[in-house]
Amino acid sequence: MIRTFAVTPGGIGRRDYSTAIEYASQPALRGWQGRNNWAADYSGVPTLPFGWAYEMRLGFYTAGGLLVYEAPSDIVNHIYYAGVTSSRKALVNVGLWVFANLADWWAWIVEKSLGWVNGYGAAELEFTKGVNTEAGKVYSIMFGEYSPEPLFDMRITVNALEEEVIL
Amino acid sequence: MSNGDKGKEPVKSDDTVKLKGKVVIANDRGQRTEIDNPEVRRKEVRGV
Repeated sequence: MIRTFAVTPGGIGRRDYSTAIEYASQPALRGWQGRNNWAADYSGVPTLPFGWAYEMRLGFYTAGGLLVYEAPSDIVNHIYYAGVTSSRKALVNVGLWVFANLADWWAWIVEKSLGWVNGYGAAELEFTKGVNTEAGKVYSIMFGEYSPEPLFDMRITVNALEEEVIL
Repeated sequence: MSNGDKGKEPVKSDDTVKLKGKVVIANDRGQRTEIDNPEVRRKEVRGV
């Protein structure tokens, strides 16, 4: 997504645009960072009653390349985007939740919600400063579509930058 | 449940269902995992 916005350079001497760059929907990728993409493509999903949602844990990779469902301690993920698009222009929503650990995730004990948005046909959450994952916590995505039709198709994307933790 | 939801399958908060589709988790380090027909939970989120 490309956005235009007013830039106010800060400081003296050489102009500093770094703050403005961070306002872009996709943050600048530093040399020591990499992208991490979580994408789902569903078809024929049963519609839920309004007020209900589907929920799924996000997976992260450790520095050794192992896929885990609790945020790893050796890699920090800066989550900056979560979005859904539906096959129809119906009410959809997307949200991100944080659970303190895997046991809390099983017990539905939500530590906090990072955001929850509704839209028609599509909904997007953007974190201009990113959300850093904390080791051991579980991050999950909620999504749903609400319409009289029984089934829907949906695409979900979560983008993050991953960065190795230097101890 | 509102009137518009009548006739739909009732759901419980501890339900897990398999959705038709695929989840792909990939990164710049070349790691990539595909999960076919992943299991998801469904939950009433109103008021959470």
